[in-house]
Amino acid sequence: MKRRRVALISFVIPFLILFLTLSGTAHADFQTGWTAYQEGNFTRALSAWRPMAEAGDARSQFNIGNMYDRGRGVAADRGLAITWWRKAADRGYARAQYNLANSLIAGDGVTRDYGAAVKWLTLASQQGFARSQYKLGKMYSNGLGVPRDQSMAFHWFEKAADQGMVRAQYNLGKMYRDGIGAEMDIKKAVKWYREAALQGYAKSQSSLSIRYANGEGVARDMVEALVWATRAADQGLERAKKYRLKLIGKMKPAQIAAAEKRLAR
Amino acid sequence: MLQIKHMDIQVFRRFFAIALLCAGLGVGLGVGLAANSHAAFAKPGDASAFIADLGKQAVSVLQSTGKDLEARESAFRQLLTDKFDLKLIGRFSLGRYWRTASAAQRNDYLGLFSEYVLQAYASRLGGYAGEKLVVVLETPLSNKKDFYVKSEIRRPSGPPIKATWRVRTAKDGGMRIIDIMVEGISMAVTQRDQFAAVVRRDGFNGLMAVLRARTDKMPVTTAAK
Repeated sequence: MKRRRVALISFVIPFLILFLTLSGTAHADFQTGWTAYQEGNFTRALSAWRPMAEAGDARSQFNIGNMYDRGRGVAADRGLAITWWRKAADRGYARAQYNLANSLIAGDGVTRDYGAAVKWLTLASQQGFARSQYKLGKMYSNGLGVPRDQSMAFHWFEKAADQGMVRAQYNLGKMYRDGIGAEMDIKKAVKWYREAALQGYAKSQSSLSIRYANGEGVARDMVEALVWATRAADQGLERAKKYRLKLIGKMKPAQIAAAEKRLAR
Repeated sequence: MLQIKHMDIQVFRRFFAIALLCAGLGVGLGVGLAANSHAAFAKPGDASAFIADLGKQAVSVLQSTGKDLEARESAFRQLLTDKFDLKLIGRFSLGRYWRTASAAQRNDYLGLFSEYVLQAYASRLGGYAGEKLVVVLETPLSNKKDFYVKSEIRRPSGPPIKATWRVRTAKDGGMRIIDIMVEGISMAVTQRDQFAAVVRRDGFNGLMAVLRARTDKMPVTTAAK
């Protein structure tokens, strides 16, 4: 029994050492590539990542795809970028699935194919990749590559919004406001507008301003309305600039001063 | 396949190379540094000096140490934002569709367009050591506000690329690049033709989808998934 155990251990340990050495080396190679890339030495980055990519490392495959996409260390070649992204995507690498989907939407280096884009977006979204969830929501909402389905759009926007993605939060706000894909609920609309507004998203700041001015889903508060309209206008949003002037026209000097005070904080 | 793709690869590759010409460039101009920011119209030499200065600043951005590539890219994008009239180029690139676009659509489009162009320029950051931009000739245009600044990007290998910058005196008195001609081909015109083809086929929203898809790609990463 004891001898068998010793034999087993003496058999396993060399493999374990070999495995740890190899994975350590792979890690070191990846880091070498990463450091070189940050220094702008793309040729060295590529020579570190290429053997790893050829051996099936999805992260290296994805990065090499990017280098072809941007023409870094190699001549730009969107077709080859797709080839590498597809390899990584087939291995379940969400970022590669997402970039591949974007290329399929834009027709970059590949024939445009919304249906295939939806397939890859779905795979990345199921892994919890927020950007992909948002984009998939857009595909459902616009009926691109899938039949238009607002409740599916809502489903994916909500997933992305929960992860803090501002555009998804803003879209969710609009869907609650209009009762599209979900029961109309102006309070929930305000909640999501606020989430995105607090992260600095101008369109959402503008929508929140309107809700405050109209007292929709939130107690009417002209000062707060002006605060949010100003924040959106300061980012160059035209409709907020107009709305801000309209608000100012209706407000008393003391209210405007109060808004300015809040903005100065 | 979108028609835009072909031109993209062929022409934009060069366009970006040019943007980066600024990278290696040791512009050897004996002209003053900055353009007179208060002058209504530029004086002879101002436009050349402006391009030379852009190159100089690009070098200082590119050679900065202690920052990662993303931070340098971001600084470079900021530099380009200041030097290019992105609003004008964006508007021109949309061609006749600009007139029919709503204010909200224009707003969305300009935001995406700027991101698209800046990302494309900045993407060449860091790889062009040894390249040199040499200003060859400055020619005023008859409209009295634009200048062509003819330049050559001399490379360690391969023939030089001929690039002409169209520089305009902006309303604020400063100068802005409004177009680049590479080997005689106007980038703005090329871009407008590509965009028009997409809008004709897929409408304004189709163009927005293309621009969004281009600018949305995830960058090189260390992330495990």
